[in-house]
Amino acid sequence: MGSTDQYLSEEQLVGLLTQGDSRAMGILYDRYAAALLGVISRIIQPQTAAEDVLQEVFVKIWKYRHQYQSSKGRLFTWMLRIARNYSIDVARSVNHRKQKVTDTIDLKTQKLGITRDKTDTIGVAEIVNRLAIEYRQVIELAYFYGHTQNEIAKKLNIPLGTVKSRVRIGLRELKKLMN
Amino acid sequence: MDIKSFIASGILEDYVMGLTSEQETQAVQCLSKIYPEILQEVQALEVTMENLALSMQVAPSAGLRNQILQSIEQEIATEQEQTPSSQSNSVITTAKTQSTEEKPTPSKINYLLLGFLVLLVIGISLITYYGISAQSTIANQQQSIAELEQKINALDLSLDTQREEQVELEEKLKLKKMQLAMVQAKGTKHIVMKGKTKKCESIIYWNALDASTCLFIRHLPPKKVSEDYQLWAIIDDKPVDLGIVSEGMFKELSMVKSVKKPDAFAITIEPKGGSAKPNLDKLCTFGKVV
Repeated sequence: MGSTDQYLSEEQLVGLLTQGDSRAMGILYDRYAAALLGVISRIIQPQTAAEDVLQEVFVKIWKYRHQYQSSKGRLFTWMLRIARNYSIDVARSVNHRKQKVTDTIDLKTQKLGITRDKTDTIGVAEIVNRLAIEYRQVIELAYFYGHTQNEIAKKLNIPLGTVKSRVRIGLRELKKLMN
Repeated sequence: MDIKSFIASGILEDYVMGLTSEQETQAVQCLSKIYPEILQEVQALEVTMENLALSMQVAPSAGLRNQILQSIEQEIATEQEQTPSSQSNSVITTAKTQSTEEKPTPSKINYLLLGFLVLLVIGISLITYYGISAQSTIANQQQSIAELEQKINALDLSLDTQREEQVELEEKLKLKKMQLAMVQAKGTKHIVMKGKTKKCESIIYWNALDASTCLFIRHLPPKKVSEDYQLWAIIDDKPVDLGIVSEGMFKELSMVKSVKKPDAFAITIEPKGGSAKPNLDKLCTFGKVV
Protein backbone atom coordinates (compact mmCIF):
# COMPACT_ATOMS: atom_id res chain seq x y z
CA MET A 1 0.00 0.00 0.00
CA GLY A 2 1.34 3.40 -0.91
CA SER A 3 1.54 6.12 1.70
CA THR A 4 -1.14 8.18 -0.10
CA ASP A 5 -3.74 5.56 0.98
CA GLN A 6 -3.58 7.01 4.46
CA TYR A 7 -5.12 10.21 3.20
CA LEU A 8 -8.13 8.76 1.42
CA SER A 9 -11.37 10.21 2.78
CA GLU A 10 -14.17 7.88 3.86
CA GLU A 11 -16.07 8.90 0.73
CA GLN A 12 -13.20 7.90 -1.54
CA LEU A 13 -12.81 4.66 0.36
CA VAL A 14 -16.50 3.84 -0.06
CA GLY A 15 -16.06 4.58 -3.77
CA LEU A 16 -13.17 2.13 -4.06
CA LEU A 17 -15.07 -0.51 -2.13
CA THR A 18 -18.30 -0.32 -4.11
CA GLN A 19 -16.38 -0.31 -7.38
CA GLY A 20 -14.97 -3.67 -6.28
CA ASP A 21 -11.40 -2.44 -5.93
CA SER A 22 -9.82 -4.91 -3.49
CA ARG A 23 -7.17 -2.34 -2.47
CA ALA A 24 -9.91 -0.86 -0.29
CA MET A 25 -9.72 -3.93 1.95
CA GLY A 26 -6.04 -3.37 2.75
CA ILE A 27 -6.78 0.22 3.73
CA LEU A 28 -9.80 -0.81 5.79
CA TYR A 29 -7.67 -3.43 7.52
CA ASP A 30 -4.98 -0.90 8.41
CA ARG A 31 -7.51 1.56 9.75
CA TYR A 32 -9.99 -0.63 11.55
CA ALA A 33 -8.74 -4.22 12.11
CA ALA A 34 -7.49 -3.49 15.65
CA ALA A 35 -10.73 -1.76 16.66
CA LEU A 36 -12.87 -4.54 15.15
CA LEU A 37 -10.74 -7.16 16.89
CA GLY A 38 -11.27 -5.23 20.12
CA VAL A 39 -15.03 -5.54 19.73
CA ILE A 40 -14.88 -9.20 18.65
CA SER A 41 -12.55 -10.11 21.54
CA ARG A 42 -15.18 -8.89 24.02
CA ILE A 43 -17.50 -11.60 22.73
CA ILE A 44 -15.15 -14.29 21.43
CA GLN A 45 -12.16 -15.72 23.32
CA PRO A 46 -9.33 -16.83 22.99
CA GLN A 47 -7.73 -14.36 20.60
CA THR A 48 -7.05 -17.02 17.93
CA ALA A 49 -10.81 -17.66 17.75
CA ALA A 50 -11.46 -13.89 17.66
CA GLU A 51 -9.01 -13.56 14.76
CA ASP A 52 -10.84 -16.29 12.84
CA VAL A 53 -14.03 -14.29 13.32
CA LEU A 54 -12.21 -11.11 12.19
CA GLN A 55 -11.18 -12.86 8.98
CA GLU A 56 -14.77 -13.94 8.32
CA VAL A 57 -15.94 -10.38 9.09
CA PHE A 58 -13.60 -8.92 6.45
CA VAL A 59 -14.80 -11.48 3.90
CA LYS A 60 -18.39 -10.46 4.76
CA ILE A 61 -17.53 -6.77 4.34
CA TRP A 62 -16.24 -7.59 0.89
CA LYS A 63 -19.19 -9.83 0.01
CA TYR A 64 -21.83 -7.37 1.20
CA ARG A 65 -20.10 -4.25 -0.13
CA HIS A 66 -23.03 -3.59 -2.49
CA GLN A 67 -25.44 -3.50 0.44
CA TYR A 68 -23.63 -0.64 2.12
CA GLN A 69 -25.49 2.66 1.71
CA SER A 70 -23.85 5.80 3.01
CA SER A 71 -27.29 7.31 3.50
CA LYS A 72 -28.06 4.66 6.14
CA GLY A 73 -24.95 5.24 8.23
CA ARG A 74 -21.22 5.64 8.36
CA LEU A 75 -18.89 3.01 6.89
CA PHE A 76 -17.11 2.10 10.12
CA THR A 77 -20.47 1.92 11.94
CA TRP A 78 -21.64 -0.53 9.28
CA MET A 79 -18.47 -2.60 9.69
CA LEU A 80 -18.88 -2.58 13.47
CA ARG A 81 -22.44 -3.84 13.08
CA ILE A 82 -21.29 -6.75 10.90
CA ALA A 83 -18.52 -7.60 13.41
CA ARG A 84 -20.87 -7.39 16.39
CA ASN A 85 -23.72 -9.38 14.83
CA TYR A 86 -21.46 -12.11 13.50
CA SER A 87 -19.59 -12.42 16.81
CA ILE A 88 -22.87 -12.77 18.68
CA ASP A 89 -24.03 -15.44 16.20
CA VAL A 90 -20.80 -17.36 16.66
CA ALA A 91 -20.88 -16.97 20.45
CA ARG A 92 -24.45 -18.25 20.60
CA SER A 93 -23.69 -21.29 18.48
CA VAL A 94 -20.63 -22.06 20.62
CA ASN A 95 -22.40 -21.39 23.91
CA HIS A 96 -25.05 -23.74 22.69
CA ARG A 97 -22.58 -26.52 23.39
CA LYS A 98 -20.30 -24.96 25.99
CA GLN A 99 -21.01 -22.74 28.93
CA LYS A 100 -21.65 -19.06 28.40
CA VAL A 101 -18.45 -17.09 28.14
CA THR A 102 -20.00 -13.71 28.73
CA ASP A 103 -21.65 -14.81 31.95
CA THR A 104 -18.34 -15.41 33.62
CA ILE A 105 -17.14 -11.86 33.13
CA ASP A 106 -16.95 -9.92 36.35
CA LEU A 107 -18.83 -6.77 35.54
CA LYS A 108 -17.67 -4.75 38.50
CA THR A 109 -14.00 -5.00 37.67
CA GLN A 110 -14.57 -4.66 33.94
CA LYS A 111 -12.63 -1.84 32.34
CA LEU A 112 -12.20 -0.63 28.82
CA GLY A 113 -8.60 -1.50 28.10
CA ILE A 114 -6.19 -0.13 25.57
CA THR A 115 -3.78 -2.67 24.27
CA ARG A 116 -2.41 -0.72 21.39
CA ASP A 117 -0.49 2.46 21.76
CA LYS A 118 -2.23 4.81 19.42
CA THR A 119 -1.96 8.47 20.29
CA ASP A 120 -5.28 9.55 18.84
CA THR A 121 -7.32 7.01 20.77
CA ILE A 122 -5.73 7.21 24.21
CA GLY A 123 -7.67 10.36 25.01
CA VAL A 124 -10.92 8.61 24.13
CA ALA A 125 -10.22 5.64 26.39
CA GLU A 126 -9.50 7.94 29.29
CA ILE A 127 -12.68 9.85 28.68
CA VAL A 128 -14.72 6.65 28.48
CA ASN A 129 -13.28 5.48 31.79
CA ARG A 130 -14.55 8.68 33.35
CA LEU A 131 -18.12 7.68 32.52
CA ALA A 132 -19.86 6.32 35.61
CA ILE A 133 -19.65 2.53 35.84
CA GLU A 134 -23.42 2.00 35.83
CA TYR A 135 -23.76 3.69 32.45
CA ARG A 136 -20.72 2.02 30.93
CA GLN A 137 -21.98 -1.38 32.05
CA VAL A 138 -25.33 -1.18 30.28
CA ILE A 139 -23.79 0.30 27.11
CA GLU A 140 -21.20 -2.46 26.94
CA LEU A 141 -23.68 -5.23 27.70
CA ALA A 142 -26.12 -3.98 25.08
CA TYR A 143 -23.74 -2.92 22.34
CA PHE A 144 -20.73 -5.15 22.68
CA TYR A 145 -22.29 -8.28 24.14
CA GLY A 146 -25.55 -8.00 22.25
CA HIS A 147 -27.78 -8.54 25.29
CA THR A 148 -31.38 -7.40 25.13
CA GLN A 149 -32.53 -4.85 27.68
CA ASN A 150 -34.54 -7.56 29.42
CA GLU A 151 -31.44 -9.74 29.77
CA ILE A 152 -29.46 -6.81 31.18
CA ALA A 153 -32.20 -6.09 33.72
CA LYS A 154 -32.08 -9.71 34.90
CA LYS A 155 -28.28 -9.87 34.91
CA LEU A 156 -27.79 -6.67 36.91
CA ASN A 157 -30.96 -7.20 38.93
CA ILE A 158 -32.37 -3.74 38.17
CA PRO A 159 -35.77 -2.79 36.68
CA LEU A 160 -36.17 -2.69 32.90
CA GLY A 161 -37.04 1.02 33.00
CA THR A 162 -33.73 1.75 34.72
CA VAL A 163 -31.83 -0.15 32.02
CA LYS A 164 -33.59 1.85 29.32
CA SER A 165 -32.86 5.22 30.90
CA ARG A 166 -29.26 4.25 31.68
CA VAL A 167 -28.60 3.30 28.05
CA ARG A 168 -29.94 6.64 26.85
CA ILE A 169 -28.35 8.85 29.50
CA GLY A 170 -25.07 6.93 29.24
CA LEU A 171 -24.81 7.35 25.50
CA ARG A 172 -25.72 11.03 25.74
CA GLU A 173 -23.08 11.57 28.43
CA LEU A 174 -20.52 9.71 26.37
CA LYS A 175 -21.33 11.88 23.38
CA LYS A 176 -20.91 15.01 25.47
CA LEU A 177 -17.58 13.79 26.83
CA MET A 178 -16.23 12.96 23.40
CA ASN A 179 -17.49 15.75 21.17
CA MET B 1 -44.53 17.27 19.05
CA ASP B 2 -41.59 18.47 16.95
CA ILE B 3 -38.18 17.29 15.77
CA LYS B 4 -36.51 18.43 18.99
CA SER B 5 -38.76 16.39 21.23
CA PHE B 6 -38.44 13.45 18.84
CA ILE B 7 -34.66 13.61 19.21
CA ALA B 8 -35.03 14.01 22.98
CA SER B 9 -37.31 10.95 23.21
CA GLY B 10 -34.28 8.62 23.31
CA ILE B 11 -35.24 6.55 20.29
CA LEU B 12 -32.11 7.60 18.39
CA GLU B 13 -29.92 6.31 21.22
CA ASP B 14 -31.83 3.01 21.11
CA TYR B 15 -31.42 2.89 17.33
CA VAL B 16 -27.65 3.41 17.41
CA MET B 17 -27.34 0.77 20.14
CA GLY B 18 -29.23 -1.73 17.99
CA LEU B 19 -32.14 -1.93 20.44
CA THR B 20 -35.00 -0.75 18.22
CA SER B 21 -37.57 -3.03 16.61
CA GLU B 22 -37.51 -3.51 12.85
CA GLN B 23 -40.40 -1.08 12.52
CA GLU B 24 -38.67 1.61 14.58
CA THR B 25 -35.39 1.09 12.73
CA GLN B 26 -37.11 1.63 9.40
CA ALA B 27 -38.84 4.73 10.72
CA VAL B 28 -35.62 6.28 12.04
CA GLN B 29 -33.89 5.62 8.71
CA CYS B 30 -36.83 7.11 6.88
CA LEU B 31 -37.00 10.22 9.07
CA SER B 32 -33.26 10.82 9.02
CA LYS B 33 -33.45 11.04 5.24
CA ILE B 34 -36.02 13.79 5.55
CA TYR B 35 -34.72 15.78 8.50
CA PRO B 36 -31.08 16.85 8.52
CA GLU B 37 -31.28 17.48 12.30
CA ILE B 38 -32.14 13.82 12.91
CA LEU B 39 -29.44 12.61 10.52
CA GLN B 40 -26.91 14.82 12.26
CA GLU B 41 -27.86 13.48 15.69
CA VAL B 42 -27.73 9.85 14.51
CA GLN B 43 -24.30 10.42 12.98
CA ALA B 44 -23.01 12.10 16.14
CA LEU B 45 -24.16 9.08 18.18
CA GLU B 46 -22.59 6.71 15.65
CA VAL B 47 -19.30 8.60 15.92
CA THR B 48 -19.53 8.21 19.70
CA MET B 49 -19.89 4.42 19.38
CA GLU B 50 -17.09 4.35 16.80
CA ASN B 51 -14.84 6.21 19.22
CA LEU B 52 -15.78 3.79 21.96
CA ALA B 53 -14.74 0.92 19.67
CA LEU B 54 -11.54 2.73 18.73
CA SER B 55 -10.71 3.07 22.41
CA MET B 56 -10.63 -0.69 22.94
CA GLN B 57 -8.31 -1.79 20.16
CA VAL B 58 -6.61 -5.16 20.26
CA ALA B 59 -3.61 -5.57 17.97
CA PRO B 60 -4.04 -8.51 15.55
CA SER B 61 -1.23 -11.08 15.08
CA ALA B 62 1.43 -10.19 12.54
CA GLY B 63 0.46 -12.63 9.78
CA LEU B 64 -3.25 -11.96 9.90
CA ARG B 65 -3.26 -9.07 7.41
CA ASN B 66 -1.87 -11.21 4.57
CA GLN B 67 -4.07 -14.15 5.49
CA ILE B 68 -7.21 -12.02 5.38
CA LEU B 69 -6.28 -10.27 2.13
CA GLN B 70 -5.60 -13.69 0.59
CA SER B 71 -9.01 -15.01 1.61
CA ILE B 72 -10.57 -11.94 -0.02
CA GLU B 73 -8.63 -12.65 -3.24
CA GLN B 74 -10.10 -16.17 -3.08
CA GLU B 75 -13.56 -14.69 -2.62
CA ILE B 76 -12.98 -12.49 -5.69
CA ALA B 77 -11.97 -15.57 -7.69
CA THR B 78 -15.20 -17.39 -6.73
CA GLU B 79 -17.23 -14.25 -7.45
CA GLN B 80 -15.81 -14.15 -10.96
CA GLU B 81 -16.80 -17.77 -11.56
CA GLN B 82 -20.40 -17.09 -10.58
CA THR B 83 -22.87 -15.25 -12.76
CA PRO B 84 -23.20 -11.60 -11.78
CA SER B 85 -26.93 -11.93 -11.04
CA SER B 86 -26.42 -14.44 -8.26
CA GLN B 87 -24.30 -12.01 -6.29
CA SER B 88 -25.29 -9.70 -3.48
CA ASN B 89 -28.47 -11.56 -2.72
CA SER B 90 -27.15 -12.70 0.59
CA VAL B 91 -28.56 -11.14 3.70
CA ILE B 92 -26.59 -10.12 6.74
CA THR B 93 -27.74 -12.20 9.64
CA THR B 94 -29.07 -10.32 12.61
CA ALA B 95 -28.06 -10.82 16.18
CA LYS B 96 -31.48 -12.03 17.14
CA THR B 97 -31.06 -15.61 15.86
CA GLN B 98 -32.50 -18.24 18.10
CA SER B 99 -30.43 -21.22 19.05
CA THR B 100 -31.88 -24.51 17.94
CA GLU B 101 -33.02 -27.05 20.45
CA GLU B 102 -30.35 -29.13 22.08
CA LYS B 103 -30.17 -32.79 21.15
CA PRO B 104 -29.32 -35.17 23.99
CA THR B 105 -25.84 -36.64 23.61
CA PRO B 106 -25.20 -40.31 24.49
CA SER B 107 -23.45 -39.31 27.72
CA LYS B 108 -26.43 -37.16 28.70
CA ILE B 109 -28.77 -40.09 28.10
CA ASN B 110 -26.58 -42.22 30.36
CA TYR B 111 -26.78 -39.59 33.11
CA LEU B 112 -30.52 -39.34 32.70
CA LEU B 113 -30.83 -43.11 32.93
CA LEU B 114 -28.61 -43.20 35.99
CA GLY B 115 -30.62 -40.40 37.62
CA PHE B 116 -33.84 -42.22 36.89
CA LEU B 117 -32.53 -45.44 38.41
CA VAL B 118 -31.34 -43.62 41.53
CA LEU B 119 -34.79 -42.03 41.92
CA LEU B 120 -36.44 -45.41 41.44
CA VAL B 121 -34.26 -47.04 44.12
CA ILE B 122 -34.94 -44.13 46.52
CA GLY B 123 -38.64 -44.36 45.77
CA ILE B 124 -38.83 -48.08 46.40
CA SER B 125 -36.87 -47.85 49.66
CA LEU B 126 -39.09 -44.97 50.86
CA ILE B 127 -42.23 -46.99 50.20
CA THR B 128 -40.90 -50.03 52.04
CA TYR B 129 -39.64 -47.87 54.91
CA TYR B 130 -42.75 -45.83 55.61
CA GLY B 131 -45.33 -48.41 54.71
CA ILE B 132 -48.59 -47.87 52.88
CA SER B 133 -50.08 -45.07 55.07
CA ALA B 134 -46.95 -42.92 54.82
CA GLN B 135 -46.94 -43.53 51.11
CA SER B 136 -50.36 -41.96 50.71
CA THR B 137 -49.25 -38.85 52.68
CA ILE B 138 -46.32 -38.43 50.32
CA ALA B 139 -48.65 -38.81 47.39
CA ASN B 140 -50.92 -36.11 48.85
CA GLN B 141 -48.00 -33.75 49.37
CA GLN B 142 -46.75 -34.37 45.87
CA GLN B 143 -50.16 -33.59 44.52
CA SER B 144 -50.38 -30.27 46.38
CA ILE B 145 -46.85 -29.36 45.23
CA ALA B 146 -47.90 -30.09 41.65
CA GLU B 147 -50.97 -27.90 42.12
CA LEU B 148 -48.87 -25.04 43.48
CA GLU B 149 -46.44 -25.37 40.58
CA GLN B 150 -49.33 -25.17 38.15
CA LYS B 151 -50.59 -21.99 39.80
CA ILE B 152 -47.12 -20.40 39.69
CA ASN B 153 -46.78 -21.30 36.03
CA ALA B 154 -50.15 -19.77 35.24
CA LEU B 155 -49.18 -16.55 37.04
CA ASP B 156 -45.85 -16.40 35.20
CA LEU B 157 -47.63 -16.84 31.91
CA SER B 158 -50.10 -14.00 32.48
CA LEU B 159 -47.25 -11.73 33.65
CA ASP B 160 -45.35 -12.46 30.42
CA THR B 161 -48.38 -11.63 28.28
CA GLN B 162 -48.88 -8.39 30.14
CA ARG B 163 -45.25 -7.42 29.56
CA GLU B 164 -45.54 -8.20 25.86
CA GLU B 165 -48.69 -6.13 25.61
CA GLN B 166 -46.96 -3.23 27.33
CA VAL B 167 -43.99 -3.35 24.93
CA GLU B 168 -46.38 -3.48 21.99
CA LEU B 169 -48.27 -0.43 23.24
CA GLU B 170 -45.02 1.49 23.78
CA GLU B 171 -43.97 0.74 20.22
CA LYS B 172 -47.29 1.90 18.83
CA LEU B 173 -47.03 5.12 20.82
CA LYS B 174 -43.51 5.80 19.50
CA LEU B 175 -44.64 5.27 15.93
CA LYS B 176 -47.56 7.62 16.42
CA LYS B 177 -45.21 10.28 17.78
CA MET B 178 -42.93 9.90 14.79
CA GLN B 179 -45.78 10.27 12.35
CA LEU B 180 -46.89 13.42 14.15
CA ALA B 181 -43.38 14.86 13.94
CA MET B 182 -43.35 14.21 10.25
CA VAL B 183 -46.75 15.70 9.52
CA GLN B 184 -45.79 18.95 11.23
CA ALA B 185 -42.36 19.28 9.62
CA LYS B 186 -41.41 22.16 7.37
CA GLY B 187 -41.96 21.38 3.70
CA THR B 188 -43.75 18.07 4.26
CA LYS B 189 -47.00 17.70 2.40
CA HIS B 190 -49.63 15.32 3.59
CA ILE B 191 -51.36 13.72 0.62
CA VAL B 192 -54.37 11.52 1.28
CA MET B 193 -54.94 8.89 -1.40
CA LYS B 194 -58.57 7.87 -1.47
CA GLY B 195 -60.07 4.56 -2.54
CA LYS B 196 -63.52 3.13 -3.10
CA THR B 197 -64.16 2.81 0.63
CA LYS B 198 -63.06 5.01 3.52
CA LYS B 199 -61.01 2.07 4.81
CA CYS B 200 -58.78 2.23 1.71
CA GLU B 201 -57.29 5.64 2.53
CA SER B 202 -53.51 5.76 2.33
CA ILE B 203 -51.16 8.65 3.04
CA ILE B 204 -48.12 9.93 1.18
CA TYR B 205 -45.72 12.22 3.03
CA TRP B 206 -43.84 14.15 0.41
CA ASN B 207 -41.22 16.71 1.31
CA ALA B 208 -40.97 19.57 -1.18
CA LEU B 209 -37.52 20.59 0.08
CA ASP B 210 -35.63 17.37 -0.63
CA ALA B 211 -38.15 15.34 -2.67
CA SER B 212 -38.10 12.46 -0.17
CA THR B 213 -41.27 10.42 -0.05
CA CYS B 214 -42.78 8.15 2.58
CA LEU B 215 -45.84 5.95 2.35
CA PHE B 216 -48.32 4.82 4.97
CA ILE B 217 -50.95 2.29 3.86
CA ARG B 218 -53.95 1.52 6.02
CA HIS B 219 -55.66 -0.97 3.76
CA LEU B 220 -55.85 -1.93 0.09
CA PRO B 221 -58.53 -3.98 -1.72
CA PRO B 222 -57.63 -7.69 -2.04
CA LYS B 223 -55.54 -8.89 -4.99
CA LYS B 224 -54.71 -12.29 -6.51
CA VAL B 225 -51.49 -14.12 -5.65
CA SER B 226 -50.39 -13.61 -9.26
CA GLU B 227 -50.63 -9.83 -8.83
CA ASP B 228 -48.73 -7.03 -7.10
CA TYR B 229 -49.63 -3.59 -5.79
CA GLN B 230 -47.67 -0.87 -7.60
CA LEU B 231 -47.13 2.74 -6.54
CA TRP B 232 -47.09 5.52 -9.13
CA ALA B 233 -46.42 9.24 -9.19
CA ILE B 234 -48.09 11.32 -11.87
CA ILE B 235 -45.73 13.98 -13.22
CA ASP B 236 -46.80 16.21 -16.15
CA ASP B 237 -49.67 13.78 -16.88
CA LYS B 238 -47.25 10.87 -17.20
CA PRO B 239 -47.13 7.94 -14.74
CA VAL B 240 -43.75 7.29 -13.10
CA ASP B 241 -43.15 3.90 -11.45
CA LEU B 242 -42.34 4.17 -7.72
CA GLY B 243 -42.05 0.44 -7.17
CA ILE B 244 -43.96 -2.54 -5.83
CA VAL B 245 -45.80 -2.20 -2.52
CA SER B 246 -45.46 -5.36 -0.46
CA GLU B 247 -48.01 -6.45 2.14
CA GLY B 248 -45.25 -6.12 4.72
CA MET B 249 -45.39 -2.36 4.24
CA PHE B 250 -49.00 -2.16 5.38
CA LYS B 251 -49.54 0.01 8.45
CA GLU B 252 -45.87 0.94 8.54
CA LEU B 253 -44.18 4.13 7.53
CA SER B 254 -41.93 3.17 4.61
CA MET B 255 -39.55 5.13 2.46
CA VAL B 256 -40.23 4.93 -1.29
CA LYS B 257 -38.38 6.35 -4.33
CA SER B 258 -38.07 10.12 -4.11
CA VAL B 259 -39.85 12.23 -6.74
CA LYS B 260 -39.54 15.84 -7.81
CA LYS B 261 -42.68 17.89 -8.49
CA PRO B 262 -45.33 15.15 -8.47
CA ASP B 263 -48.86 16.18 -9.37
CA ALA B 264 -50.48 13.09 -7.86
CA PHE B 265 -49.86 9.62 -6.42
CA ALA B 266 -51.73 6.37 -7.10
CA ILE B 267 -51.65 2.65 -6.32
CA THR B 268 -52.85 0.07 -8.86
CA ILE B 269 -53.01 -3.71 -9.04
CA GLU B 270 -50.66 -5.06 -11.73
CA PRO B 271 -49.47 -8.50 -12.87
CA LYS B 272 -46.72 -9.97 -10.64
CA GLY B 273 -43.53 -7.93 -10.90
CA GLY B 274 -45.29 -4.72 -11.89
CA SER B 275 -45.95 -3.02 -15.22
CA ALA B 276 -44.44 -0.19 -17.24
CA LYS B 277 -47.80 1.57 -17.40
CA PRO B 278 -50.56 1.52 -14.79
CA ASN B 279 -53.73 -0.49 -15.35
CA LEU B 280 -56.33 2.16 -14.50
CA ASP B 281 -59.15 -0.43 -14.38
CA LYS B 282 -57.56 -1.68 -11.18
CA LEU B 283 -56.89 1.65 -9.49
CA CYS B 284 -56.91 1.16 -5.71
CA THR B 285 -56.19 4.64 -4.37
CA PHE B 286 -55.44 8.05 -5.82
CA GLY B 287 -54.50 11.41 -4.33
CA LYS B 288 -53.60 14.80 -5.82
CA VAL B 289 -50.79 16.98 -4.50
CA VAL B 290 -52.29 20.33 -3.54
